[in-house]
Amino acid sequence: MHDRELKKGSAELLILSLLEGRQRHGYEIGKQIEARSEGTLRFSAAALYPLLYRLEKRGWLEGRWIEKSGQRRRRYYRITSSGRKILAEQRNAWQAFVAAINRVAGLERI
Amino acid sequence: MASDTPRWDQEIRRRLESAGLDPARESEIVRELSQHLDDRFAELRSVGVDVADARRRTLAELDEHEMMTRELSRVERLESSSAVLGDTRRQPLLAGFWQDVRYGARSLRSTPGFTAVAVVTLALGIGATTAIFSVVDSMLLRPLTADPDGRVVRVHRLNVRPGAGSVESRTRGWSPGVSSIRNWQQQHRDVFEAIGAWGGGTLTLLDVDPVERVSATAVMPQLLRVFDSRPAAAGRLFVEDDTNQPVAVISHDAWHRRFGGDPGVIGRSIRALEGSRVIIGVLPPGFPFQTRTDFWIPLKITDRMADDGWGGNVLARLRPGVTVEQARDAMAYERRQRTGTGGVVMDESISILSMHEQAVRYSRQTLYFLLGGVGCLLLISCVNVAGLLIARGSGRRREVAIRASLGAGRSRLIRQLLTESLLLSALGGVAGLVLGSWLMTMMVGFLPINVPADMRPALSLRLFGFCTLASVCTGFLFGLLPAVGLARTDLSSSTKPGRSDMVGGVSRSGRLLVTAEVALALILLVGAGLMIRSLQRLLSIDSGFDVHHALIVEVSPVLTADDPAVSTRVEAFYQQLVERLASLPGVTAVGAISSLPYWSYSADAATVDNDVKVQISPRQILPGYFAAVGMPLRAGRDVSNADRAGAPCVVVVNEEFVRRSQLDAAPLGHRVKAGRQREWCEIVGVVANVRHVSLEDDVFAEVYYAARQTGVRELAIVMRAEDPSSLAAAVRTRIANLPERTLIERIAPFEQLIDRTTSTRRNRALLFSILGGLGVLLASIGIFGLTAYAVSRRTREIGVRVALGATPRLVLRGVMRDFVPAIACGIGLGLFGAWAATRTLEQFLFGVTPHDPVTLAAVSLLLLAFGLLASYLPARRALRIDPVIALRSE
Repeated sequence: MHDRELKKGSAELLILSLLEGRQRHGYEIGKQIEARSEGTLRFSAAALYPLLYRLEKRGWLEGRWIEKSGQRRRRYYRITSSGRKILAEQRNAWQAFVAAINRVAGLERI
Repeated sequence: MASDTPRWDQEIRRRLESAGLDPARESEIVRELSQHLDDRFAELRSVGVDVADARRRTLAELDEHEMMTRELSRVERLESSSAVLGDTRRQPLLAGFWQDVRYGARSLRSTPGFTAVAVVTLALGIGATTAIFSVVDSMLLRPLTADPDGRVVRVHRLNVRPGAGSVESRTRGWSPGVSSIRNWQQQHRDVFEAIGAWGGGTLTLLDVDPVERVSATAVMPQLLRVFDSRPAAAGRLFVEDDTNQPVAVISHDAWHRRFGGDPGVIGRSIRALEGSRVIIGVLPPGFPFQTRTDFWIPLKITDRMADDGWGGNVLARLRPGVTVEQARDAMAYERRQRTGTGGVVMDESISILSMHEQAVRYSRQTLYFLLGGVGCLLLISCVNVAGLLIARGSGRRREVAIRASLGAGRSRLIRQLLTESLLLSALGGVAGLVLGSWLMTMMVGFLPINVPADMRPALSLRLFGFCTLASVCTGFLFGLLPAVGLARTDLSSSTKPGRSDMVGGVSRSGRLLVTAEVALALILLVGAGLMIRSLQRLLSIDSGFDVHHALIVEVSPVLTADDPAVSTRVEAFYQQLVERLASLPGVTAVGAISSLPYWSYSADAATVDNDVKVQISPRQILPGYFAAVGMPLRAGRDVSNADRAGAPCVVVVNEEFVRRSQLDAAPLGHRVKAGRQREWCEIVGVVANVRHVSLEDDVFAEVYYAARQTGVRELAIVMRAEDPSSLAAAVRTRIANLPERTLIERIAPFEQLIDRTTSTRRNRALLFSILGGLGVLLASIGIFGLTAYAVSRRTREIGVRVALGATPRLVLRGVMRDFVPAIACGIGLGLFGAWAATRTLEQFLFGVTPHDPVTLAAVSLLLLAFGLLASYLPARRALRIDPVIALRSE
């Protein structure tokens, strides 16, 4: 349970961060999360896509079918300007949250 | 993709089944997910996992499919609500727009009756506006074909008399004399590229049978350069030496039509009654000025034409870069004071007006006025459709409330509703464009203005632009109020069944619309009423003629001017013709006159033997004219056949002449002398006044000479008979039997002359009546719709009241109560608006003031009657409501 809730809460931040630099398709986003977290975080397709659609609905992402030469048509996701704003907010919030947890849990030296 | 890759679609679909997604959206998701699974499968295979295991591990991606479907259906429900009316921020603008359009189209299709009425209403408004705009476009906005770069100007001399009254009424234009024109040609080379004069003329062609009379434009050689700098297509164009020479240039069109494009036409002689001419050249093709003229001749310059006021037109082409203002400045030195007849000192100056301005200046006011009129009509259509939308909108409150509860913001709702209005106005616009382009061609003959042939309205890009703009503006105009009202819907009350949101009947905005509609329609009706009254006044004027029993026959003998006995032969011709026509059965009188009423007139100064000077209008007649047109003789006698050359000169005068020359006591026997050369002539008779010049002008002092004494080239014959139109064929036969060759120009009932002089007012009255009628019709439809709606909303209430014993009168009063004050208010407002608007109307009126109480009262009553009827008819339905059914209605 904890695992799932934690993932869901932070997933938005993860996805937005990954799209900050460039547009990616769904599978690539999943692979990137797995690779960058060195296997700690993994999203199944069943978890990932509803999340993408939700962010898209909120106007933070924009998904488009794009055909690149030599490949098949794929749906690429791109961060929107309101997505960028949200990303900045969530980063700050996450930082504050992690710092608070650390302080409470005594993980941080005083 | 590896060939062993399984197909995932079925697997995914099975797992999505319970999400209840939109099929199109589902396929998109299936496609994206199956690509994901393909990638996963390929990755597993690439690290050596066998097919079965790879397939199992790939499908594990969908293990949490229950969560997925739950999440998806949650997200996609958001999607489905935004598809109807989502939040604008969540999707690109255009996609939202198409959604709105599709949704709007569906919604309009579901109420075909409403849509049809709204589209027809809009089409009428937009169509009428487009049609009038097409004329505004062709006349005011488009450059002349004869002068595409706007460099041709008319040069005119103006004299302003001192005295009271507007400057316009004291100003008189004169054509500048030929000596002035020649001066300017030399002096103002830096301003005018070319300057020249032209005048009208005719050629009666003798080499064709029957004899044909064509118009020939007489020009100074330089005039052709004003319009076209190209050389002749064949031969040469006029040079200065051609002045007063018997030569002619033909148009390119005439060259092909009449002479088959034969180059040998140069040097050929054309025989004409006015003198034979040698063709010296052919104009370049597409010469833009006077395009319907076949023959061009050099302007015959007489001594008299050296002075101003010879009656021609002077046109000039400005050098490139020279503006009309600069040309005016260059001619400013011509401003001076001049002493006219009677020692009156006048301000004299040169007027320079662009040819375009010259062509349209008398039409501009009328056009703006018509544009205002159709604008009113368009506004009424808008108001009408707004009313329909409000009525329809109330039935949609629940639908809108549901959408709002699904998360659609107010601005989003308004956008959707406005898109629907725009869709409606686009349909109306297309229908309006079709209607407008039809009206455009049909209307030209009925316009109260003269539309020159090269200014006929045509479909143009600007017209499309105007129509589009009009449609979009109308869409916003009629859509905004209902949309805002509807979007303000209160969720809690509207979603409850059985609650009527406007318990009192029609909403305040509905009443407001009725007021607006009635006010606008009243303004149109006042305009129409005043035009009709003006026409009535005009038609009720006694012209003095007995117009119903006279036939005019314009015929002339074909006798060349070089015939030495021409005047005797002409005289004999008419004498003989009059006698022959008089013997026709049913003919009671035959006479002839030099110029027919309302056709042309001349003015001259006359001196009476009591030393009184009178401005007169002279005409020449043959005996019998007065009897033929029904002018009663008040004293003395008509001219007779004995009044011929050599006999003492006699004249008949009208009563106005007697009054002005102060001969009231005994006019007979007094003598009058007119013009420069005329001898003293004795007054032998006095006839009743007639309006010879125009119905609207005052009666002129008229002097009728015996044509046989003054000598005259052409006369128009007037015959009196019980049924004049039946005579035409017999008249033709009699003319054909004459020994002379003849040219019949016209055989027509005398009434035609009156029709011609009243046609502008008739057309104006007709056009405004149509506008007013349409305005009333549309306003009535609007009131009808809103009342019908109010009745339907109140079915339950009325049912209760009827059940409780309310009389039909009370019920009716209850329903109509909403509208009567609104209609009355609209009439009041409209009267005020009309009072303000009619000030500009004044110039189009005749014999009525813009605030004519009869007109104002009549149109107010008419509109009130229509308004009451339009609200009574649907209100009557309320009486038939069965209380039992009504109470069950919800």
